Amino acid sequence: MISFSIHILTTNYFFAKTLLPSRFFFDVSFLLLTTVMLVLVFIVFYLFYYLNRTSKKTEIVRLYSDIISEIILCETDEELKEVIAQLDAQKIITHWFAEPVGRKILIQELVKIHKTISGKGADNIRWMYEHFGLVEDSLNDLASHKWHRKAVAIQQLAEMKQIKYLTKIYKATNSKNKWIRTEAQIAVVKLTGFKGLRFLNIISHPISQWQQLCLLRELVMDHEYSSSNLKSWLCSTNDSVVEFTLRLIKKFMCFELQKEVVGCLYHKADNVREAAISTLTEIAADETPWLLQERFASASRKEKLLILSVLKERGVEEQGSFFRDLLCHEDTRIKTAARAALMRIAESASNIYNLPNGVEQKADVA
Amino acid sequence: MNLNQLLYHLFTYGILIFSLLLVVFYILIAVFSTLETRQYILKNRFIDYSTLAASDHAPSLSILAPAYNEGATIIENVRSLLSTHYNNFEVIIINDGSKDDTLQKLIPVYELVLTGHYFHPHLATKKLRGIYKSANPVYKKLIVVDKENGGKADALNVGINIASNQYIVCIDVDCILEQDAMLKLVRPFLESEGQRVIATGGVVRIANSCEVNNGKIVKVHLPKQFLPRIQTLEYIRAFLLGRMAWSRIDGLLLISGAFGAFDREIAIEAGGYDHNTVGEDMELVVRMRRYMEERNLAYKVAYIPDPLCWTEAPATFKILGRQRNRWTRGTIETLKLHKKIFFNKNYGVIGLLSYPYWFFFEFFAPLVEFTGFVGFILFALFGLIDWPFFLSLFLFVYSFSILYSVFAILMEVLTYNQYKKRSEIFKLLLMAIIEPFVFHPFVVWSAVRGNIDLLRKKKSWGEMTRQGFAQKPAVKNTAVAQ
Amino acid sequence: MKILVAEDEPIMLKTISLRLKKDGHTVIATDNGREALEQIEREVPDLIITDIMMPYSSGLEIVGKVRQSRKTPIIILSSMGQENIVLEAFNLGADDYITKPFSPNELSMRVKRFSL
Repeated sequence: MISFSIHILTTNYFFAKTLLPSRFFFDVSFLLLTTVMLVLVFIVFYLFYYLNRTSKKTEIVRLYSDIISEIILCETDEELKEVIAQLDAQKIITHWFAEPVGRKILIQELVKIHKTISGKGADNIRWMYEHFGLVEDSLNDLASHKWHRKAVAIQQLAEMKQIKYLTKIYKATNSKNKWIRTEAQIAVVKLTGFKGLRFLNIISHPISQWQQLCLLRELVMDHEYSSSNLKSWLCSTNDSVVEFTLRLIKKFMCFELQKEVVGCLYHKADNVREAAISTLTEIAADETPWLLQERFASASRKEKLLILSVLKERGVEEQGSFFRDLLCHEDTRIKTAARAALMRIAESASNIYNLPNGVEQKADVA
Repeated sequence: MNLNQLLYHLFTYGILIFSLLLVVFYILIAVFSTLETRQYILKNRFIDYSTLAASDHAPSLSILAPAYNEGATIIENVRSLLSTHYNNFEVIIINDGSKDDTLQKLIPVYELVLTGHYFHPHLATKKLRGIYKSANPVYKKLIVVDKENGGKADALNVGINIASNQYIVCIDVDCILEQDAMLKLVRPFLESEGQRVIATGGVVRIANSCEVNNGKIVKVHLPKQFLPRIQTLEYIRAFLLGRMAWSRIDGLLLISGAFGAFDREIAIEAGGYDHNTVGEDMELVVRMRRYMEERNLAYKVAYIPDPLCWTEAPATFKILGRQRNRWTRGTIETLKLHKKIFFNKNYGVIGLLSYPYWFFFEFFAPLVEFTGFVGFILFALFGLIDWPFFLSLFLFVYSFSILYSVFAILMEVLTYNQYKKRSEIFKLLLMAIIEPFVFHPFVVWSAVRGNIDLLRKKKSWGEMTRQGFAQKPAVKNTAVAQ
Repeated sequence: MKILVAEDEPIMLKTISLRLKKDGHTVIATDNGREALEQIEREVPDLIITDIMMPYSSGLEIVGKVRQSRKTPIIILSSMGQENIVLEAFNLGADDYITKPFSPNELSMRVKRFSL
């Protein structure tokens, strides 16, 4: 713990005395104490302002929650017009929607709720965002010099599907600021889907796990993907690009890239090899269990455990002896995983299924 | 110049330089902390943690909580941990040979049954007596381990062995965590580009006098009692104006034992917690850092300033004294164990800056202060003090001290603003005013005692008694829509 | 039907309540797990709609607790759509699982299924 003490400096007493007159110290003390007073006054004012702002914000949010929820539930354009007319009558639009604080909170709440609502409700929210000119507010923030304002604006525009401003957002993917860059990259993918991933062709710095997570969230299985792009990204010199591509392959279940994924089992980077093993869970072919078994011997401990968990789902009866050998492994976890895999295989192999005419038959239980 | 004069000049110059450096460091720390915290908070404005919560790719966590004689609050504590907002995690409670009914209380409530649980004993620990899991699927994330008493380090090592997830979160079982604590704690691990984040530390806040309901902080109050109140100020200074600064230059050597996350693989390879020291939390961080430095691997130790973990601070001088005594011994033991890195440029920032800082300004400073104080008393007794001059010097130093504390309060107000009432701010100010006279000398004295005790080879944790949080029913109206 | 809705996001809670009220149901709105459990005891709703990540109690804990003594239908409404959570929810006894983003109209239709 950092602490400050008057006692250290009392020891400087003699030295300081010869160097500086007491007048000096009194002057400096006065300066310091004045600063203390000023800071205290500032704190008191700030607390007052903060309490004010918080209560105002709570009131606004409460008001908005009624309005926004009504608008979400409007089924037709007529209904919408009715609600707007009501708001007009209550002077809500001229009062709250005109104030900068009111608008800022409105955008925040709209963006927040848009993430959780789909269908007509979401369309209505977007309509509201555009109708009340909130797009301008976001665009103003986008043009701001402050990086955090820009990043928030990018998120807002992307969430509200403002695809006509794609060029502006795309420009931001080259920003010097790391945060703006990543938000812009995610936004482009959000707006254009798989096509937006073309920055992977040229990106030189590593993609953080967080960014990968965000990108994966924006891509849904229905998106059209390009095998050739995925193939070329698997050969990237940027390890994180390869890792991310493997995750994409897993998500889109690209069986046609099976061979390339197997190739990544021998990649130089740990995280790539691990991602490859994990991907093979989804796109396993007949020879996959054997390839994984082959890989096992020279794999790291982490990879061994991953392989065993894949083989628990995809292993075949014929690998029984491989698993049995592992039951004597020195590492308890590996032993346990091998045992689990063995039991799983035995269970599916020994499932007897009674057919109506009494004939017994083996059946595979996936 | 004769020998006496030389010694005299050496002594006074030495102390002066020491003090000036201390002041410079404090100012630099204040500036760096401010910048780092500001950046963190601005970034937090556009982070959507629900992306992490809903992702299949979020890393797995094992929350380790050693428990010793926690019978009074263990049920609530475990419930609170199990309701953390996160997907892939397990909670491992390690009953470190409690003499009370900690385990007996848990078994019926969580429907625990003895099971086999296979794990590889990477780290050597004391004997286990049993591993329990719940028969009720609602509590399937819970594992309770019963073992012979071996101390916190040993209990945590057991937890590390048993954990099967990527990151371990080591907490004190009686700490109250915010529900999105795990989401926030895990983020630094995911945001690094190229460097491996091996540990993330978090801020510990003081829960005394806060209203707690169902394992959650409902309302924050400044502690009513004197000692916890003054420690609140101290914690604000240390955490907001200290750790963030070190984190900015990646020189953080200490992560609180009450709340920290670690990369399990590196923790194991570095050897786990050392049960021969009472400062096991700091010692592990230093050792893990050395492990990475010695292998020339790119890494980082991160820190997050959000108030996520609340704990009870000592309220009596006796217990506070024991705590500070233990902290001192822990610091010295850690410094001794890792003296190799002192001013060793092979260890980068921690060798050239962090370790020397800890050595001079955390270990050495209390001794210097104590000596200075004794010296001062002697001078005064012999009538050698020029009182007017002394007063001016005293005022100068005192003003700086108050300014620093007030700046810490300002930072707290501008960032997380947990104490929103003006009265609370003025109470904190009052603490800043009387701290140098009442609290600080006691802390210095405990540190000196720590030095002495260590020389006498005293190895123990002392007994920390439980007080229990203030229980108040939360007042809330349910909206009943017609 | 008397429906209890547990959701900590205020606008979401308002939207769901409004939608269900439009359909003619009585709605008990709560924004945290502890209160939800209290209201379930007190009001004995015909249907429970709950989020997972809420203050005090997770939605799954609510399912577990309710299933100890009642057969009230429970719909989970959550942004956490990971397979293991969905499976866990059904394992504990939930009757339906809707992931966010969701359509209030769809929710309304699913609720109709549980009408007597």
